[in-house]
This record gives sequence, C-alpha cells and structure tokens, in this order.
Amino acid sequence: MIELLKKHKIIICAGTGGVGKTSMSASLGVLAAQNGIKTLVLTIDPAHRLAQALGIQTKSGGEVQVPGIPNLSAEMIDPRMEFDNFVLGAVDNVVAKGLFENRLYQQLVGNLNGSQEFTSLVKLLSIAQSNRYDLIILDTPPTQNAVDFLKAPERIYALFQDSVIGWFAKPAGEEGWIKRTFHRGTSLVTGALEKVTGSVFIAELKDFFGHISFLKEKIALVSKQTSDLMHDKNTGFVLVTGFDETKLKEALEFQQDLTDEKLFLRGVIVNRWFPEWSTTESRWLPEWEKDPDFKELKVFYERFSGFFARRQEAYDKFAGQIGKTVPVLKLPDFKNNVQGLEDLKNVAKTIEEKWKSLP
Amino acid sequence: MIHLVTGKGGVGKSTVAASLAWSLAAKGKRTLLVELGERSYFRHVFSGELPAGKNLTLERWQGEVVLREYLLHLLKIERMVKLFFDNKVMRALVQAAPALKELALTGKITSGPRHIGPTLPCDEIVVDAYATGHFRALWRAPVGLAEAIPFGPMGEQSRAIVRVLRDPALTKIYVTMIPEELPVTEGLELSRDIEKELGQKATLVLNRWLDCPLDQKQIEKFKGHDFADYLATLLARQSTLRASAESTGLPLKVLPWLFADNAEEKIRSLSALVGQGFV
Repeated sequence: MIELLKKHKIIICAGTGGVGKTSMSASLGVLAAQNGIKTLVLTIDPAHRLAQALGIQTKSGGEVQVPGIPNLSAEMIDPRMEFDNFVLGAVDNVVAKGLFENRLYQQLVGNLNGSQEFTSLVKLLSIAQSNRYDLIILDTPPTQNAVDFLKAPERIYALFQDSVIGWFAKPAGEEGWIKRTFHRGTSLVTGALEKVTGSVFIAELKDFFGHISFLKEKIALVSKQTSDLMHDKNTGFVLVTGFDETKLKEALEFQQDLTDEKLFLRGVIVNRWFPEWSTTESRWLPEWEKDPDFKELKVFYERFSGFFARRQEAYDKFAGQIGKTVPVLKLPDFKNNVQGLEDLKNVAKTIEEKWKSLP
Repeated sequence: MIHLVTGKGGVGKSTVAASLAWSLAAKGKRTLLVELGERSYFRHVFSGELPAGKNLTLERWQGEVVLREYLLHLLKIERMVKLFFDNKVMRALVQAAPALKELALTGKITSGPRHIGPTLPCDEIVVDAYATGHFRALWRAPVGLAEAIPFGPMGEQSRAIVRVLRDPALTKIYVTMIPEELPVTEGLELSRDIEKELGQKATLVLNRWLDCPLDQKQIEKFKGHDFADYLATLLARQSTLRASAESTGLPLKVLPWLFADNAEEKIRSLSALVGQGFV
C-alpha cells in the first residue's frame, strides 16, 4: 500500500454511506505521512471524535496540521461555503450579490444535486494545482450509489450549458436577462411550466439563470480540469465497501463504471468484514469450565463464529469476480470504533500488513 | 397513514421499512411499500412473489417519472408533457435541481390525504426514504418552496404537502439507528431537525441491538479472552448509546441483531417483532 500511495498524487476514496470511508481516508493518510509522504486528507463530514483527533472540529477552518503526526494535514470541506467562494472567484461582486440574494439559489444550491461532489472536486483541483502536497486523499461525500460521485460534475455542467441558460435568459448587456428569448416551442413549454409552478417561480427562475449565465465559462473550465485530473494516471480510486451482499454487488458495478469511464481503480477495501477476535487464537482458561456462565458464553461464541464462517462463502464468490483485476483487502471490525489517532495508526498498520500478504 | 423510514446509510433502514410494511400487511391492512430512486433494492430481496400475500404491494418511485405523472395530471395533454420532458433544458433542470423531483415525490406520498391525483389503493404507505442528508432535502423541498414562492400553484401545493407531513395523525417518521456512535449522533441530530422544522416527534428505531445471554458483569469474569472483551466493549457501547437515545424523550423501539445476512430472512423475523409493537 505504501508503494501505491507513493506512486499517486491523488487517491479518491469512494463508496456508499456508512461503510467507513472517512476513517479509511484518514488511516491511509496516516500511513502515507508515516512513510514520509506529505499528505492532505480532505473530508466532508467526519464523526465528531475523528474530527477532534484530526484537529478539524470546525468547518472552513482551512488546512490543519494533524497534531502528533508530522507530514499529515487535514481539512473539512464546507460545500456551501466552497460554492459561494467559487461564485465569488468567478464573477464580479455585483453579480455574486445578486445571485446570493436569489431565493432559488438560497433554497436550491445547498441541496443542488451533485453540488457537494462538485465543490469537493473544485477544492481538490485548487489544492492539487498549488503543488503543496505529495499526496491528497479525498474522502467523497456519501452517495446512495458509489457511481453517483462520478456523474455529479456532469449533471452540474449540464445545468450551466449555453442552451440551458440561453433558454431562460440572455446575459445582461445583450438583451437583458428579463427579456426571454423565444426558441421554437419554448413559449409552449414555458407556458406549461408557468401553469404548474406559477409566475413568481418563473420570475425567480429567470433571475437565477440570468445570474448564473456569468458562471458558465468558469464552470466549463473547471469541469474540464477536474475531468483531466480524475483521468490522470497519478490519480487512483480506492473503493471502500461494507459487508453485505447488496454492497458487494454494488462494488462490482462500481468497478465496471470506473472501467467504462477509463478511470483507475487501484484497490478495494471491504471494511468491517469480521470481528477482530475471530482471527486471533485467544485461549479459554481451564478454570472457567466450572462456571455455568462460561457454557452460555461458549454457545454464544459458536453462534457468532458460525455466522462469520457463512459470510466467508459469499465473500469468496465476490473476491473471485473482482479480485482478478484489482487487489481486495478485507479489514476486521475493530473492537473500538475508529475514532482516535491511535485507532487510525492501528488501522494503517493493519492495512499495510494485509496488503503485503495479498497474493 | 404515511410511514417514512430514514436513518444513516448502512443502518438497515430498508430492512426496517420492509419489516414494518410486512407486519402491517399481515394485520390485514392494504400496504404499499415504496422505494425511492434509480435502482431497486427489494427486487433483489424478494426473489419470488411478495411474502405477505396480496395485501402488500411494492413500488419504486423515481422523481422524474413522478414529476411527469404529475404534469400530465395538471396539463391533461400528453403531447404537452412530452414537449416539456423531451426538452434538453427541462431535463437538465430536473436532473440538477432536486427540489423539483423531491417536490413531486413528497407530492405523491401525500396525495391521499390531499385528494390529489389518482387514488392509491392502500391504507398504509411505507416509504423506504433516503438516508439522513438526502432525507432532509426531501422535506425541505416543499418547506423551502412554500416559503420562497408565496403565490401560485407551486407555493400552494408545497404548503399543502407540508401540512400533511407535519400532521402526526397522517404522517409518522422513523429514524433508524444502530448502536454505534455515528449512526446515533446523526439519527438524533436528524430527529431534532424533524422536531424543529416539521414539529413532528420521530420514532427512534434502534436496530441491530445485540441480545446477549450474559450481562456485562457476567462477561467481566472472562476478561482477557478476545471474544469476551469484544462483547464487553460492545455491550457497554450499546447501553451508553441507548441511554442517550432514551434521554431525548422520543419513543424508542429496539430491534435485535440477527445472525443472518440474507435480507428476506431478516425481514421475516423482524416483521414478527414489529407486529408485536416492537420488542
């Protein structure tokens, strides 16, 4: 794994919500930093104690040196603020102010489908261009489906295309954006839209598109640059997944999607696959045998072990399919939830050990 | 009655939603289990016909399709709807601005009590709704638009939808959690937002509770063995987190951890427990 981290400038940790992406990203960050790689971990919404451990309790606190781990920095991305900053950087203050005051912008942009993913990529891009780090690890926002992350910039970009903006409004200075331009059939559709939504909504919508028309060049440029960055051979994807038949199926789909998009999947981490105790050879003490509670404990132990043995079968099937092309790492469910720096170091160590022992 | 089931990703909210739907159907209620989004999870789960017999129907609602249905209902003319949807611009708008899709979805979910559109043939709707973040967007779309658009049909519709969502006699919200820190923190945060913004008291569902035949004190005797230590940590954690869930004063239901990976098997076992008013 260390070799892999050394070879890349960007590692993107993708996966659905609830599989431990953030702690994996942080652990990979620790592993890289311990091996002399100057690393930044970019994350969206870490658990409170993990954030504390990394020294990033507040959003928009910028890049923070992680206490106790030289070479490692972390930053929590605030998508809403990044989007506002992006607007401020792309247009003049008057237009930005107008956009910020638009009620649709206020209601929608925070929730805009793909805006979290988009702002993550914008942030990634700006830091990558600064060349201040050897490696940036991006913890992606939780999506319902791992693939959603890849499609997000496309969706945002579609909204900012010429045809879309021109349909609602022309930029000021040409005809004034209040004056709608009519294409063939447009008035019919606008009429229908107005019937459904009402004229107040249409007015807000026009105002919104009037303002964002100023953003389109910057959006186009950034979309192109982030796409290039994702396709760069120094950018690798690591899929983090949990154990559950549905999740494993999804991992296979994700691999296919990455291949179709000509992106590089460098590893799969199946997180929390088995409990730590199931791999250790802890001994039952002979003096316990007399205790009636011990019998109960052993029955319970057998039940647990049997369950994880059955899981092995499903996993073998999965590894047989995906493992041919990409390394698959399975990690235990650690006794304590991964929260503190010591936990992260422990996970980092386990990742490296397991990675080395892969065939 | 509308049942909305949410929770952080990976806590088993689909399983909980299906168990709830199954138990309602088993009681003789005509039940509709709804999943939202592009891909069907339950189609993989229920391989053959639906287990609870003819009382349980499964549907998948996609924002875009529902929006189209709604437009047709309003405009009455298919050609107009086609013009609207085949338009590149509208497609981009619908794709990127989720508020429209969310509005259509919440519109359909609440259509029964509002007497809008075709009647849904059921007494109970159980929605396997989105995970926490996206779930907020689901209700914030009508709430936000109700505020942003003071006049016109869209504002009116939004306000009517919000009234149904806020009414505890019509809508019940379940926040699913598992006894781990992050899912509980997120779940409790969400239930606070639900109370603040919708005025509803959510029902907390603590899923995957480990029913251990031994208590912490008994396990303590075998300290030093990896399995016993694992259990001790787990039991301590789950009782702490349960206490913090209880301290909210919200109704709390507990569902056990099952030693099974097969979803249908899990739903079958849990629905029996849910039917008994949860354990």
